[in-house]
Amino acid sequence: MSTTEKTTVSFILNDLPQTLAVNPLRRFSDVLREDLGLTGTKVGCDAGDCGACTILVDGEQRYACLTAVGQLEGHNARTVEGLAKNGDLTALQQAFLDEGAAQCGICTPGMLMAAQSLLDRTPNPTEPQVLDALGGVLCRCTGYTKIVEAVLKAGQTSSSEPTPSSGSAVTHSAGFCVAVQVIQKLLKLYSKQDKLLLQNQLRHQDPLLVHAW
Amino acid sequence: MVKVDGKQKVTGEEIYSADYTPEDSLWLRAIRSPHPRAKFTLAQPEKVLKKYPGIIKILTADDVTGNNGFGIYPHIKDQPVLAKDHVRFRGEAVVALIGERENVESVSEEDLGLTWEPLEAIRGCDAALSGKLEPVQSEIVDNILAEGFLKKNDVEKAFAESFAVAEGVWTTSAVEHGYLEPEAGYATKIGQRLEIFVCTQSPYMDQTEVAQFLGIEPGQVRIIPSAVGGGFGGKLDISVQPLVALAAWILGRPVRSIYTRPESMVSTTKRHPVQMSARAGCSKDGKLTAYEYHGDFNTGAYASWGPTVADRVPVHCSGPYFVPNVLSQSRALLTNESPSGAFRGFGTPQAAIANDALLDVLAEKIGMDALEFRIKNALRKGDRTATNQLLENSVGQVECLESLKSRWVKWRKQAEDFNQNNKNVKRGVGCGSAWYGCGNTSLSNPSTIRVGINGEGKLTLYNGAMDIGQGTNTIMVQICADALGLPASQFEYVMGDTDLTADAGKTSASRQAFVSGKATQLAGEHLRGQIIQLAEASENATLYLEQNGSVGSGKLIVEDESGEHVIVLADILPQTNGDVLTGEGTFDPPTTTLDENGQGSPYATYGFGAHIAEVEVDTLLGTTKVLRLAAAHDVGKTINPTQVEGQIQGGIAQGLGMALMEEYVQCVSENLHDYLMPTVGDMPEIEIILIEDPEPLGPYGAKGIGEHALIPTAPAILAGIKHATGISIRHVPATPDRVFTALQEAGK
Repeated sequence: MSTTEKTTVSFILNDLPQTLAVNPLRRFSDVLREDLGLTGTKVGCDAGDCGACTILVDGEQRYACLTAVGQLEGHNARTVEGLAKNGDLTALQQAFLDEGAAQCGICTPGMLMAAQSLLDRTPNPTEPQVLDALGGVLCRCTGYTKIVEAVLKAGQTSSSEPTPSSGSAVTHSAGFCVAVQVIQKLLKLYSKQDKLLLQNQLRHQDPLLVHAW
Repeated sequence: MVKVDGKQKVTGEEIYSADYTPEDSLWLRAIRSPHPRAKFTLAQPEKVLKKYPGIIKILTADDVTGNNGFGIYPHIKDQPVLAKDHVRFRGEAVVALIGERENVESVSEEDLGLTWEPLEAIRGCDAALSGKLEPVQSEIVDNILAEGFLKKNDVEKAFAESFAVAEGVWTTSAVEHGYLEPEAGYATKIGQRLEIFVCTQSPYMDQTEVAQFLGIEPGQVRIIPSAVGGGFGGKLDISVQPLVALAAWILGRPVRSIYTRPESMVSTTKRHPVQMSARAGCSKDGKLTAYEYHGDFNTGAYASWGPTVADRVPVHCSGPYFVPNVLSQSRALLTNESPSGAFRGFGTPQAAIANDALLDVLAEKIGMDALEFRIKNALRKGDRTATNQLLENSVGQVECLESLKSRWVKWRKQAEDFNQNNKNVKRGVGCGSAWYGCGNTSLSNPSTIRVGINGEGKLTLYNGAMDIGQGTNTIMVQICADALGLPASQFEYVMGDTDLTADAGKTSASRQAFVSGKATQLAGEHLRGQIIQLAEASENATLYLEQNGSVGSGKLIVEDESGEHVIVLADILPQTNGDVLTGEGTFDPPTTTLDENGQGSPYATYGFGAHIAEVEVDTLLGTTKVLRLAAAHDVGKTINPTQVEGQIQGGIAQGLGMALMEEYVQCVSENLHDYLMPTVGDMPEIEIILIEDPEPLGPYGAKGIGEHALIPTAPAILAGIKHATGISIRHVPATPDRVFTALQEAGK
């Protein structure tokens, strides 16, 4: 397929049906921000490293920057704009506000979505579950402490109100994105210490690990 | 009180630098050098214009209408916005393409006829000093950009008379700021003025830089800051501003640019790597006698904040301790590496690594507990610092250390017990300490803040103190509300817009809460004074503001013992910003210049702090995990406890990264995949103890916290590794390979 050829992609976005005529290979983060004006989803690296663009697809965390819009065909996507209803913050958002979990706030949408995916599955999570759920999103301001506290607090206050998006997947995702998901999982190691170890090993095997931009 | 800008941050409605641009904006992309040092020629831009009809303009150094040089010092504008003929670091911009996005992104170096002649680059401090290669900047022949020096009394004599002496050498790596918002913004020309929407820590400095670059008056440039997605010092220097400004000025159309992550990482500043040696001495009873320090800071190709680091380090390098004899020297050296600039602490976090390590060795040599040793030597009221400044107020270091004592004893014991039963995994507990001068070193750095009420009763704080996440938007409203006597909930605020606010200086040097905070208090009091006078009420009157949407109906009700006085706001003639009443406050912290021996009073006040960290080292893998950390900080007065805690927790995360994993290496870690920053899984359990020894000059006793939050973390972690394993890490970060190698060399 040509890189500019457009096709029709239909999916659910924040509970509303969407049909877009787009190049299906475009990053979903770009489509959200540029075509749909939903700039709540942030782009920090465009490479699946920082997690700022984390959204939900069928209730699961997904990096919007590594998601081709075509992959959404028939699926259910949720972004930060889909949390608050009529200006009323969700328990999770309120906890972020009250606990001071947002400092500069640029990671906040991604953090919220990562936490939401957990709370949808596990309304009253334990701290290790929270750490695991947030492991794919970087924050440079808070040291994470207040973010974890906010998610735990939201878990205690909102255990009876799962959001309507959860469990409403339309169909299973197409086979071609399996590789991407495997890579995403590999990258989402529990801590950077683990990654460091892995990286040191890789460096010894491949000393010319040089990146261009 | 929750953040005044908190709601838009949790709903995704906040507008950051990449979130908005006018619809007809052109796109700008800079072409950057892949070489650390090279000559270049640009053959045929005309061909590009022909091949890509969507390209409207190709900017080179020849298009610059003013001074093609920027830098934070008025007398050092050494960094070209667009290099001419010669590049000095990998990532330096040489050409800017402006036009339709797709076209702009498609142009290759071959299209441009860009040819490079790579030259041998100066890498590292030793190469900078060797004199073997042509200097980085021809006018600085020895590559020594700046030097700092401090001499207090006689260190040689003191060392000769010391009971114990400890010494060592350390090196640290370049560290990336890692804010999650890459630089972005747009410029638009309106009449004979430019408006620039951008993420920044210093709108007024941006205004001056852009004006001199274009050759226009500063008043012709308006900086409208976006919400800032993190800064940490990295957004003090300009990035996209001059490029989009020049393009918009020439073309008369809005022009935007968004840096990619790798572009942000290669082209902007880093924390200075340093090679340092230090020596410390003490008496038999454990009193520090002498401290000597030498640090060579690799400042990269251009000055950025190198001279500031060279100035700050000698003042702080002997730590928050009383030392009667000090000799310290620092140099900022030019190399063909990324410019090193401002990063939370300006060289002090690096120097603290040497300081705390030596204190531990001395304590061990005289058989004293490391924390007791620190308590014994900590600066107290009435002491004189290394610069011979008399500390009269707000010196909470002893209280910080004392507050950690019970945990220290317990944690050390628990770690030692753990190690009895574990062969390969070892635990240890270390201590680090910090002090940090709030404000610019021996320089005037005033802030002016305004507050106004308009005819409708709209109450606005015109806050030039940039909020980069730390929360100045919120604490300035809190301070002003207290000073004025009206509730914080009735305030609106404007942040950093150079047309609407006054200059409140830079968000750097832990100065905003202290300096701009005091200016805000004065502004609130000034406005209150006018209201009291207008109402002819008594000083302790209670104010009420009736805010109404429709014009002319705002009222101030001033209630005192004689009854209610009503001020109808619409009856007063509007002045600045359409406000009918305006309060203004200016504060410039009192300092003195440093003499040729670095003696004087460089800061009006200092923040103090100490951390203890428990680490676990896997001796088979070399990995280090921080298990728990207790942090005590003297902040003078806590204005917003949640935000102060947040600053400390965030500082700990950055200090942990610096200690264990963060290392910026050109061509290797120029992205967030290979450059590792702590995730939630790397964080220890954190306890925070806030010490409040009020600073009389600060707003309600407050002083800064931004930087001393980070300084003790790395020393505490490194000391923890030493306690756990007996090895001293001499090159930071203590990555698994370095720890493993050190263990092997030590035969452990």
